[in-house]
Amino acid sequence: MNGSGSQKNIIQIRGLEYSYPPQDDRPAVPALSGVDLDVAEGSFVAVVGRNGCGKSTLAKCMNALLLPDSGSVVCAGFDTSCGETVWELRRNVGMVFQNPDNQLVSSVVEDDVAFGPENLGEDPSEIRRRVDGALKAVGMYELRRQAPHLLSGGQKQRVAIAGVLALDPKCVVLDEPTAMLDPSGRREVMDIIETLRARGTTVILITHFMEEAARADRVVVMDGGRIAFEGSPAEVFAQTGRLEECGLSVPFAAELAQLLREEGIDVPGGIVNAQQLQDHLCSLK
Amino acid sequence: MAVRDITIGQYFPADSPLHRLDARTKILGTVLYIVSLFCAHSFSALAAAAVMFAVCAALSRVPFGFMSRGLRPVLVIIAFTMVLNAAFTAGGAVLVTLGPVRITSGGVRRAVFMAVRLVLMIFGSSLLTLTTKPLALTDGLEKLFSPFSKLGLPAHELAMMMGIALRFIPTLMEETDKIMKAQTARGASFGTGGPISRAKSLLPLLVPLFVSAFRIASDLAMAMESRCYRGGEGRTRMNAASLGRRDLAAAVILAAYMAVVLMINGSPLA
Repeated sequence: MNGSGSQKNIIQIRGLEYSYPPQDDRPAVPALSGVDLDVAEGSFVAVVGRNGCGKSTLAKCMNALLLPDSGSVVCAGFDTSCGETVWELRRNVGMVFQNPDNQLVSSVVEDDVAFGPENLGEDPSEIRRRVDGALKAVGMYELRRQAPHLLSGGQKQRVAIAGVLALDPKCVVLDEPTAMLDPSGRREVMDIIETLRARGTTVILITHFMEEAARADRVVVMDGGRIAFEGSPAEVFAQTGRLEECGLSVPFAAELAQLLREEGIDVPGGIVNAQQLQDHLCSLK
Repeated sequence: MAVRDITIGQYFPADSPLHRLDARTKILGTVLYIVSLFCAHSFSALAAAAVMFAVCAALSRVPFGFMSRGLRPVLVIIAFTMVLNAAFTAGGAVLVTLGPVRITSGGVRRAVFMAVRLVLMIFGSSLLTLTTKPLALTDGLEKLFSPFSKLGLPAHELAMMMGIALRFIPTLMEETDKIMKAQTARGASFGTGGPISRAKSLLPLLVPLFVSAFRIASDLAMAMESRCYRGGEGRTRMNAASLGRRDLAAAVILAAYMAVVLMINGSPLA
């Protein structure tokens, strides 16, 4: 039962509309209006946008935590609105949330990682194998008997990622996983995202940090519940004006490159990270 | 008020004979221990209970300082019980007379007896949570209660709820601390004034705490759902606990202990 047979898109979203239901005195709030998005298998896509632009809602739609009002979301071949396959879908599309504290279920790291495979009803030996594998993949194997509240934010988030990896997903959706972390925690999480990418897992990263988005294969800019524009990081971050309209800035390296260009220094477009800028500036002389 | 003081529900990681016992054995053992405390009618029977606790505590390799931290929050309750018992138990020689209240030697005896019993009860039950991982504990409870699930008792749900409650104690503590500091920074004062103004001052603490507890609950529910949680049906366990020779030994020791307590109760020593 794999997809609609088209090319290898792990996620296909067509005309997705979603409104949060009305509450007490508040009317319904439209969060997504007419989103179309394809994500190729094995790619790393960053979704950026200001607060309230609908990016977290979009992430939750991919995991069937929210169901579309209209339109369709097909992930890993499963339509999210089909109630029977929702668990198959969720084991294939893992989700990591913003607050590392609020997504860990157990008081011991390895038991928390085991939570997912236990829910799937795997054999104890298979669960053990997956838990050890997932913990090693995020570099938390040594701390497997630790209590989560004694870990740093970055470590907690790594445990949360391990908990998702233990489900053996094809795709991992991370909803602002670094928003509550300090710079070193942020680096830890980004390094793991690179590992996931190297393993061929599709990564969808919802983020506020342009430096993180610059590392993706593709950047999707959202504004007002729809996709404003998208492209490779080089293409997206060249459009400073459009980004500012969406309430976003460009990565520091891209901004610096632009300023240098205005000063008449020969810096090509498409520079999005410090390494590229450094390499180019060093080659100038 | 330090918020990190409560050790109930706090697992102390160590490798000891007590840690390795099956959770079910430890739960039933703890229940038996508490029952024995209520059966004990004499100081000598309580002494037997204290010896039992001391042996278990030594076996558990949990530092005593760590254990006794759980006692501090209930000291007030113990003191209150002592005062009530001392004041309203008649019998024996009158020691002090305060207006209508006569404190008798029998009352003092009873007050001390109740205090020792309470302290042992708290220590004894905290030993369970100190040496048992919360998930093992809830697994144990689930297994103990599963025979009743046919009668409609939601054993799995109760166990899961308890496990989550235990997991979130430190998180909610931190949250409380944060809210307290934020409110203090805005001029609120906690722990000053009379009991009524103290209770009132807790309001700006409790309301945000409840709000944040609900937010955490909703986040967690979403995270659990996204990790394929759908109740206890068809769920397996990574560490399937099984009763071993160790548990049999523990059961024998506990039975012997209970017999000793009952014997002391019935003996002329009492």
